[in-house]
Amino acid sequence: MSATLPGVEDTRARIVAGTTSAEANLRECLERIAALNPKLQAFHSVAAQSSLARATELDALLKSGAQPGALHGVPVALKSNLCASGHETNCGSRLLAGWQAPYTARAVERLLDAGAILVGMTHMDEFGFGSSGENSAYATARNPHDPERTAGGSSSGSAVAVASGMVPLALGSDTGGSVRQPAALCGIAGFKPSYGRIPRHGLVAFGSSLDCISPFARSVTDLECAMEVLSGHDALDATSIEEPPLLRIASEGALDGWRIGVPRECFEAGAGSGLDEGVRTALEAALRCFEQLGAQCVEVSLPHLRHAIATYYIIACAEASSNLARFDGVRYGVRHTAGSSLAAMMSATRERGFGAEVKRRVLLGTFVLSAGYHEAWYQRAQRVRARIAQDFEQAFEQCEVLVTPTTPSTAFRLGEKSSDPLAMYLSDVLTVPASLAGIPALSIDCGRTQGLPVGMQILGPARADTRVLRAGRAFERKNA
Amino acid sequence: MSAQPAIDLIRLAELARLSLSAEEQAALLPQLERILAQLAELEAVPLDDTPAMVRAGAASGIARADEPQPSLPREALLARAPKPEDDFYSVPKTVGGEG
Amino acid sequence: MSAAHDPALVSPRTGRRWLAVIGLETHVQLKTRTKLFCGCEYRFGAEPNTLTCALCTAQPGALPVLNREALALAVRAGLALGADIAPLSKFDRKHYFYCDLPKGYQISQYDQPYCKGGGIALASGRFIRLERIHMEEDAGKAIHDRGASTLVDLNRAGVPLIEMVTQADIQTAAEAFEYLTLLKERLQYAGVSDCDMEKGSLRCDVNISVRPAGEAWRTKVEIKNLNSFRFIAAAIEHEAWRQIEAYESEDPAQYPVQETRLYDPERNQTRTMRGKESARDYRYFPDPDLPPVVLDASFLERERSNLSEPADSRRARYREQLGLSPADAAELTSERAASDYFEACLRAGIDARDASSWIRNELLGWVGEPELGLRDFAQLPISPRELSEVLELIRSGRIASNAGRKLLRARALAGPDGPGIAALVAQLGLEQVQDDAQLEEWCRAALIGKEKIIADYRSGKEAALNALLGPVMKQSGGRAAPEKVREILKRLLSG
Repeated sequence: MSATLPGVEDTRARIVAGTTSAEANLRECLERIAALNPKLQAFHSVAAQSSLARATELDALLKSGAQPGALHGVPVALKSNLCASGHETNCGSRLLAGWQAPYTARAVERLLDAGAILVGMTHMDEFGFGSSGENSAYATARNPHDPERTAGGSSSGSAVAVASGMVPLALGSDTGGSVRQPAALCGIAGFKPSYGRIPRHGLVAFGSSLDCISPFARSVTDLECAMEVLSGHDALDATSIEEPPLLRIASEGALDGWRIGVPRECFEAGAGSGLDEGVRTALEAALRCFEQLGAQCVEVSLPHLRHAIATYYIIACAEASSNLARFDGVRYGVRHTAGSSLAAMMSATRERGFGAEVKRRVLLGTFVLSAGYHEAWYQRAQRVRARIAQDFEQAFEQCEVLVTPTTPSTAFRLGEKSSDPLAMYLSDVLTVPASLAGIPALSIDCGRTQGLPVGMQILGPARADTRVLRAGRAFERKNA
Repeated sequence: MSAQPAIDLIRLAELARLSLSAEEQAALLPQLERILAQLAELEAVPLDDTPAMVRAGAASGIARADEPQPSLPREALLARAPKPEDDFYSVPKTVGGEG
Repeated sequence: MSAAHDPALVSPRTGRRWLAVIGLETHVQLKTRTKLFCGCEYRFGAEPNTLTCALCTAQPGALPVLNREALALAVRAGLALGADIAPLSKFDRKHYFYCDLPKGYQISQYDQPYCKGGGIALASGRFIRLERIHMEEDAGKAIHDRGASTLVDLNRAGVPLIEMVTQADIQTAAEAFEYLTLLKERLQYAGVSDCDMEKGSLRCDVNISVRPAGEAWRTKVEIKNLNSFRFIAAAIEHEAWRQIEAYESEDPAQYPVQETRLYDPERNQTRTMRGKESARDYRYFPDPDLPPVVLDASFLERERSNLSEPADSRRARYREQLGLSPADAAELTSERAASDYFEACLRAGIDARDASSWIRNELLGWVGEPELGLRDFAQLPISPRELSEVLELIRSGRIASNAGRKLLRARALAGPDGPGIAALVAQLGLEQVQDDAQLEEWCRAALIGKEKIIADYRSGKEAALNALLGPVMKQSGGRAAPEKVREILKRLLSG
């Protein structure tokens, strides 16, 4: 079904050409959502009224001769950890049930200013902690290819909303793979830009040095449309790259003479949790495709890859434990009082408001930062991180981009890993390295195995977002 | 860092303001121990004098001018507070220091 | 150390000599318009929770961005105190939970403060060294004495502070008082802070231990809740003796323990803070949201040039180069605005002694007068040029010297759009009559029937002239120039 639905670029083009109106297009979206969401659980809130009002407004604006924005009339979904005035941002947590932010994230404002229509907020693993959607306190989003299987996480709902054709564009956040992995498992495109490329203002923080707002779409072209609007320096984020927005035109061109780096550690069975044969086969076919595009495959090595999971989880949990300290029941969120003291109120609020995985990560993070362990754990992890970043720098001296599978396996059954947090962590082995190094990473659909999507990951050097998107687009065109 | 790091779960829970039930403690402790044992593999990584990497990207001293920006209206903030009292946030009575 | 300065505390009971070992930890609010990491404007005394935004109330998703001016003032403070400024500086998160700490962590500086070293020389020549200075954000305010709950006002949350920690070099309460007085003056003159304890822009905690002279350092105690320099000195006195007596009791159960005590100004004593705190573990780590701050040579040079001349240097200059008395110099430098004004007067061509006299005897007194409504000297509505105009009018005899005060006050009350000096002279009829013919007429009239006085004067009683002055002044409605009248009378009487 989704193959026939217009993507971002097409939707805008049809509205601007007058083939359809923003309102009519949105109504179709809302109908599809009404039909599919009860089973697939992508959205936790759908803003039918306000989105229709906005669509009507956009139609009037176009009619009056105003210049349509780059995303004019495009329906968009947001992961529920993005702040948007008038919408519920619950982060998949009981603690923030019903919470509406008193402000809007700058990246979301950019979408809205470009004419996008905010349709609703999507389910996610609580506070971003998870790779399956099963850690949501509300509902687990289902993979449209097989609803008994995971859609991945933590941006589960946003991936499902795009993969099932409910909307052509959705925002998620990617801290260790939370957009790339669901994109791979659901058969769509997801792009984690360079760290700092899209301002983080208004993204509820999980791992501050890792978090990237990241878009989902059904094609690389559509991702590029979104990146043009989302990217660019913002004064409200001191970590945002001081560069102007990415321009699509910069990513035209073929791949003749490109060297595609293939990290041997990513293809070794036993790298973390072992590579599925079906995934391996699909990736090998993809590499052949790159060769047909004029590129040459080169084997490279990322020697510290096997330490990436440990490095990532130590740093991410440390930062998470810090970022979640503000959820103390004083100024917002659901408060639980216990006894008569402030400390008891805070502890009860967090105890009742946080799910099991959140508690695990907060405790782990507290541990690795605590006196006596800080140097051996947290600081050591930051140093291994530097090594991982160096590995990438060295690899990129031999190639333009790296290609790896996005995940070691296809979508697993719901409940299969949820009782074993460690197994869940280990499945992130292929996505966390790019997060640690802050480099751009794209996941695109590269085939099926046993009916389930396989995702290919393309990585580039820091700030080479355009190069990565170019490689992805060339691949996509070839396989269209 | 030892192969089996000792976890003082009670102390950690207090530091993190989490009032764990006895069942939760019993379930969490082995999980945390197992995870930390896995993460402890970093101990063996040779590092020479590689410095820590705190964040990606070249650091630039982004700063802002000392110009006032609008504050959020008090009503908007207190409307979201669990227990506003007059013009304040309120919490259970405390004697001061740490909460 | 001069022979006269003996810091020892001699126990009246045992005759033993004890020494106090004191360090001060001072928090000073930087004089910026907005907070350290967000654009909220800070104003003391504002309505609760009206000066906050998504960032300083720690709404999910909000991010800090450093205030450039706060950094500049912090560096200027370090330069003013002779400290070494680190070329690279970072911010760390310091974690603890409290209702007035919205993020559950404070953004501060841990192992790489932006400043190390520096200090302040006391009048005795003793130097109080600073260990470090670092930047941090303030917490909000928790109010415990209103009703059944604790109330939280986050207006202060995020205000920029610098924390200055001395080495334990201070030996007496008097030294602590002097250190703080000089610190306040130094920072005010640098334009870094108002250092006003009443408005919370300066706070100070004391760390104090005692030891028998010649012996090793003992357990130190922290004292908090000190709201004035006077209380700080009193608390130090009290606590030093409390510790000495505890040790001299020779009962180990009474010996001082490492703790935080609160000062009670009404009873002039310190007492243990209620509630035992478990050991804090702040779990510091570098804040990933804030890139490191580069403080390069050009930045330092710019702030060095922004440093105005410190008060003690100005005092020396006023005494030595301008010949003013120590009392004049002290009062003129009692606040930077007065000193700056004095120097502006010099640049406007006013004689140093005149300027000093008018500032000391008249203008400084205007602050706090209800009619004039000046909150501080910096608000003085008389420009040096205007003062110069008034002094010139007096010098030339166009107005009487005691009309100067009246004229200045009138000018101040008239406001910026009101009549200027010249117009006011006319309006108030202050112009003295200097016309010789008119004056002579009045003088002759005054002499009529005053034979006795004339005779007295001619026989050598110079003072008799004064009795003639009165009637002339009265005739002229007070506008005769007294000196001219004297001259004319003398002339008339000598002829």
